[in-house]
Amino acid sequence: MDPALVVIIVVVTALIFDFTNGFHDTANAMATSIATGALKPRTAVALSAGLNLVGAFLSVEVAKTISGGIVDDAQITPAVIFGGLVGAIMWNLVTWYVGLPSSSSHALFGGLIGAAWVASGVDSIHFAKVVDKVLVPAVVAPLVAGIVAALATIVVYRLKKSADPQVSHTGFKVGQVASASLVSLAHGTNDAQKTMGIITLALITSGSLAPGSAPPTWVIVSAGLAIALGTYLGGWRITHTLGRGLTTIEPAQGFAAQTSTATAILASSHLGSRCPPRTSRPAASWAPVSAATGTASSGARWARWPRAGCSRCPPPASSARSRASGRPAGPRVSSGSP
Amino acid sequence: MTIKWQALLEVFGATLLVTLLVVTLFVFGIRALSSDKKVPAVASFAGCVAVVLYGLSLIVF
Repeated sequence: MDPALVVIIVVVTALIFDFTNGFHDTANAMATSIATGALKPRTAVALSAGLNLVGAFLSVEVAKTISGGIVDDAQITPAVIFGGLVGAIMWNLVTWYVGLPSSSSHALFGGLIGAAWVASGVDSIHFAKVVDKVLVPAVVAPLVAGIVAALATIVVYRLKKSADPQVSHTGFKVGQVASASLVSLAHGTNDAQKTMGIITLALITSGSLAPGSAPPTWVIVSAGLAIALGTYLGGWRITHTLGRGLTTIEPAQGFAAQTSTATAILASSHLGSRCPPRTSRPAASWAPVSAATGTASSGARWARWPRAGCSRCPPPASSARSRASGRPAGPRVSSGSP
Repeated sequence: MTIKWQALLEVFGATLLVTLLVVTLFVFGIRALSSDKKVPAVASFAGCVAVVLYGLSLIVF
């Protein structure tokens, strides 16, 4: 097959992956805002799509990491990248269908590592970088976002006691819109870059770009548009799971959760040259639940945690307290005063 | 193979400090609004916006 045709197929497949990534990740930013009524679903999804597009233009550090670190670009071909992408897309589609908020990024990393291992042997994989840039972030990001969200929620609930309930409820809904927007922006800087990195890697392995090159402008634009379109058109199933399935959320909790999620992603983006714990999905899954445990009456539903891809993390001790409280299982989305 | 613990602690510390700063300023703003104190409310919300914009500027520039 013509090598140029293979590269074109890989680029199109990478953009399809980016689109499915957007399908998944609307929920990262918008689930809690929709659940509390701070944003209408259509508005939330459109806002998230627009900010994902803007975020894609803010940085290319993550793209450089992928195109120049995880696998040895001298030992793989565009066909290998295609194999990894197909695996990641299938994972994304299946988990989207069943409403499982899994990490698209780790599906992509796993697909790429698996395809390179089979095609070029174990030497083609830089395991030290896999640990440093994939495995450690997978564990650290949700813990950081979760712990900070719990502490932030405690602070918010202590400080807002003297505030007028109606003003507080309305104010935190507005705050949620702002913090959800930040999460979407952070997501754009993070996840769109993974597709940029894959396309750049394909261009490097085909000889179209020199090793170590940054993504060309057309790659940045196309990746940003693909994830924005996917975000706009998809995301309902996972939004439902994250927003109402794992825990019950009040505006103040949603504000604290989203602020901690956005800060965790953006802080790691800024400090990422030394340590990149960038993975928005687990962080966004942990933060709302931790925000719920940060209140006196936890509404977290630990039985649904395996569906959120968090089964690798031990549930906090408060889960026992939650079960013992005998809280009804139905949604308790606040509609009045918190 | 080494895990960069110091860098991880930096991310955790920065995330914790910035999050607590933003949510504290925001709650102070809401408390001021509840008491009809508009100047402190505006100052608190402006502080939130300034922190966010400063953070974004660090990433972009």
